[in-house]
Amino acid sequence: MSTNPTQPVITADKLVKDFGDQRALDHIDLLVNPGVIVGVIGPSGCGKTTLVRTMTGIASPTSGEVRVFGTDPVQFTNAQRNRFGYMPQLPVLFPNLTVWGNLTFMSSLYGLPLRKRRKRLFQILELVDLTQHRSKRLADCSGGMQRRLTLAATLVHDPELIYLDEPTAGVDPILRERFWAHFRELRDQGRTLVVPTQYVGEAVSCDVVAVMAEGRLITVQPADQLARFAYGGDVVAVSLDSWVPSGVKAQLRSQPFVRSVRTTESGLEIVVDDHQRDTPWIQRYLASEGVELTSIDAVAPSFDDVFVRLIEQDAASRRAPEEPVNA
Amino acid sequence: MQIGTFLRKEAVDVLRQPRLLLTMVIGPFLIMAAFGLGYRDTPERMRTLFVAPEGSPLLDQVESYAEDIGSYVEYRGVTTDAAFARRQLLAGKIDLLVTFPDRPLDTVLDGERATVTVVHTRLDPIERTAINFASQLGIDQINSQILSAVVAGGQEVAEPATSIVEAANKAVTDLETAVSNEAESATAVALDELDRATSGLSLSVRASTALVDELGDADGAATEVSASLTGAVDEMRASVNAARSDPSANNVVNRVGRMRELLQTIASGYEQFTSVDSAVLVQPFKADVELAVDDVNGVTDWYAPAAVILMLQQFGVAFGALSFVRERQLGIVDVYRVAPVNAIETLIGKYLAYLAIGAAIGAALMALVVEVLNVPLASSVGDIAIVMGLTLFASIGLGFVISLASASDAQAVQYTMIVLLASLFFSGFFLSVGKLEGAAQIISYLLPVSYGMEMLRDVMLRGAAIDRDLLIGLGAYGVAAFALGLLGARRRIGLAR
Repeated sequence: MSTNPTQPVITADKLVKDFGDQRALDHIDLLVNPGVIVGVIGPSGCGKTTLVRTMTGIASPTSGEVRVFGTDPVQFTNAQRNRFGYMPQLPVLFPNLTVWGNLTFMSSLYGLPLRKRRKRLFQILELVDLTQHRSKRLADCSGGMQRRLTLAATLVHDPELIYLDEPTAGVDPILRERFWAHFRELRDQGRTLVVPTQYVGEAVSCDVVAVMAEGRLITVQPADQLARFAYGGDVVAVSLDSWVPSGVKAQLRSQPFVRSVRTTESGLEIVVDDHQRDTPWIQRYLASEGVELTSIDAVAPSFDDVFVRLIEQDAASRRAPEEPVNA
Repeated sequence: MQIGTFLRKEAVDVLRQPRLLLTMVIGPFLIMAAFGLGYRDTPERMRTLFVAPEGSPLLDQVESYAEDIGSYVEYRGVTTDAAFARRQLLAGKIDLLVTFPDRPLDTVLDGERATVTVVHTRLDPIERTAINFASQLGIDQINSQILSAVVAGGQEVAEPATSIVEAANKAVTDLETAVSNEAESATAVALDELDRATSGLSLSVRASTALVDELGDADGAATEVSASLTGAVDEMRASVNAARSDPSANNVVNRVGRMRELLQTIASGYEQFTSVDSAVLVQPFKADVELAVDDVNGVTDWYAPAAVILMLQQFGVAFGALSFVRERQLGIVDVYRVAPVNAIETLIGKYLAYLAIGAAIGAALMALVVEVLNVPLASSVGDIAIVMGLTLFASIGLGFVISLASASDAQAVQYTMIVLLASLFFSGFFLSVGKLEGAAQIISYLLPVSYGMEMLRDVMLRGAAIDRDLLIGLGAYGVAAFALGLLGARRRIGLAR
C-alpha cells in the first residue's frame, strides 16, 4: 500500500485531548499532504508530543477526529502500522542489548525479512554513524548515540510516514545537518515526516511549519512564508546616520503599504507589503526629508524571532477580550 | 514471527547477564550444600538442672532418670535451691530446669498425679513444641521406672506361687499317705489343703495370663502355655473335687499320679510369666520407626526439591514481574503500541523465553542436587520435567500479573519479595501445608510453589505418580494467570489512553 499523492496523509478535525482537567490539545485542525516535512514548533509543554501520540494511536482523542491514511489510528491494522514509524522523545530501547541487537529486534518487530535485514541494518547504521559501535551495549552508549540508534530503529522498516519527536535533541550540529539531509532525501522519495522540535531554527529545513502554543495550533504555514505571516509583510531594515523626526515616522505609518514602523538601535524596522516594490519609495521619501541613510535592505528575521513574535501575538490576542488595550 | 522476536529478545536480554544466571544456579546449590553439611538431625541435648525437695529420695535417683532420657538431656546436677536454679536458667547457664514436687507421695496417695515442672527460655515455637514433647517423653520414662519398681514388687508378691505349688505337692503326698493308712480325718485335712492351694494357683495363673490377653500372641506359644496353665489348674480343681466326693483308697491313689503331673505343668508354665523383666512388663512396647521410602536420609533430601522449585518460582515471578513494568518505565511500551504486534504475541514470546531459560536453570540445579548432593531421584525425568515446567509456567504468569499491577519496578520487586516470604511460610517449605487452615490455606493455594513443592517431593523422593488433583490445580492456576496477564497486557499495550 502506498500513499495516494492526491489524498492527505493526516487530517485532524477539531481535535481535543484532555488529561483530567488539563487540556493538552485544543480544537486542532490540521491537514498534512504526502511528501512534505512538517515541523511542529512551540514552547515546551504546548502539546507537540501529545499531537503526535494522538496521530500514532497511542493516545485517543477526547473529542474531534484524527485520521491517518484515512483511518482512525486507534483502529490501525498491522499493515497500516507497518506504514509509519515513530521515534519517541526519549531513547526507548533495551539497555542490555547491543546496538545491533536492538536494531535486529526492531526490524524483526516490523517483519523485515531475514535476507534483507543485514544489508538494511548496515545501511541505517551508516546513516546514524554507529557502524563501528554495533557490538556495544546500549547501556554503554552515550546519550547522543542512543538518540541516533532510536532514529535508526524508527527508520529501519522504511516507513512512508515518519513521526520524529525531537529527533536531533542531543545530537551534535554536524550530525544534525546529516540527519536533516537524510530527512530531505526521504521527503524527496515521497515520505511524509512530522517533526516536533524545540529547535525553532530547524523550521527552515521543513516544508511546512505548524506553530503551537498552549495546546492550540496558532498557524500552519509554508516555512518560507512564516516570517511574512508573523510580521504581516516583508521586513525592511533601515540604518541611519541621523535622527528621524516623529513626523517622518507618522508619515511612513500613514502609507497604505506600510504595516508597521519601529525604532531600532541602528535606525528603523519597517514592515511593508512587498519589499521589492516599496523599498525604493521609502528610500526616496527619507532622502526628501533630509534623513541620511547608511543602508536599506529587506531582511529575513530569524525563526527564533518569528516564533517569539507569533507566540507574543497569540498571547496578546488571547488577552485582548479581558484586557482591552487603552488607546 | 513476532513471538520469535520477543523470545529472542528476552532470551538475549537474560543471557547477557551470565553472573545473574550463575547466581541463580550456584547460589541455591551452595545454600543447600551448606545446610546439608551444617544441619544436625539429632535432637539438641539440653543442659538440665533438676530441683528436688530436701531429703527426697529423688535427689539420689534423678541422675539415673536423666541417664534414661539422655537423648534429650545433658545432666547438669540436682539441687534443692530452686532460686539458684532459676538464676542459672535466666543466666543462660542451663537450658532446662526440672522441678520435682515437694511431697509427691502424698499427692499420689490422695489420688492425684504429682506435677513435675519444666521451665525453659526458648521462644522459637518449634523448639517449644520439641521441649513439650521431650518433657512428656521424659516424664513417661520416669513414670515407667517407678511403675517398673512397683511391678517388680508385685512379682515378688507373685513369687510365693511356687510355694503354693510346693504346698500342693506336699498335700498330694499327705493325701496319698492318709488314704493308704485309711485315716479319714487326715484325708479330709489333706484334701482341704489341696483345695486351698488349687484356689491360690487359680488366682495367680489368671493374673499372669492376663498379659497374654492384653498383648496378643501372634505365634500362639504364650497362649498355649496360658491355656495349658489354666487347663491344668481346672483339671486339678476337678480332681480334688472328685477325690473329695469319693475318698476311697482306690479312687484317690488313681488320681494322685495325675495330680503330680498337673502340678509339674503349673510350676513350669508359671515360671515363664514371673521371670519376665518388670521393666519390660511396664513398657512392653517400644517404637522402631522406619521410613518406607528408600534412600531418603539427610535433611538435604527433603529440602532440596523444595529449594529447587522455590527457586524456579522466584525466577518466573521476578522476571515476569519486572518485564512489563521495566519496559513501561523505559518507554518501550509506546513502541509496541505503534508496532504491528499484539499483546498475545508479546506475552507468548516472553513466556517462551522465560520458560526456556527457567527450564535450563531448573535442569542445571536439579542435576547438581542429584549428582553432587546425592538427593534421590525416584521417578522419571519426564514427571519431574512436567512438575517443574508447570510450576514455572504458573509462576511466570503470576509475575506478569504482578508486573501489570505494579506502577514501578520498585513496587514489582516489593511484591516479588512478599511472594517469597509467603512461600516460605505457606508453601510447605518449613511447615507442612496440612497445618494450615482458613486464610492461611487460601494463601497457600495462591502460590504456585505450594503445588509444585508437594508434587516434586512426591515424585522425586517417593517415586509416586504425579498427584492428579494438584496437577490440574496448578494447570488451572497457570491458565488463569495467563488469562489475567493477557488482559493486563492488552490494557497496557493494545488500547490507546
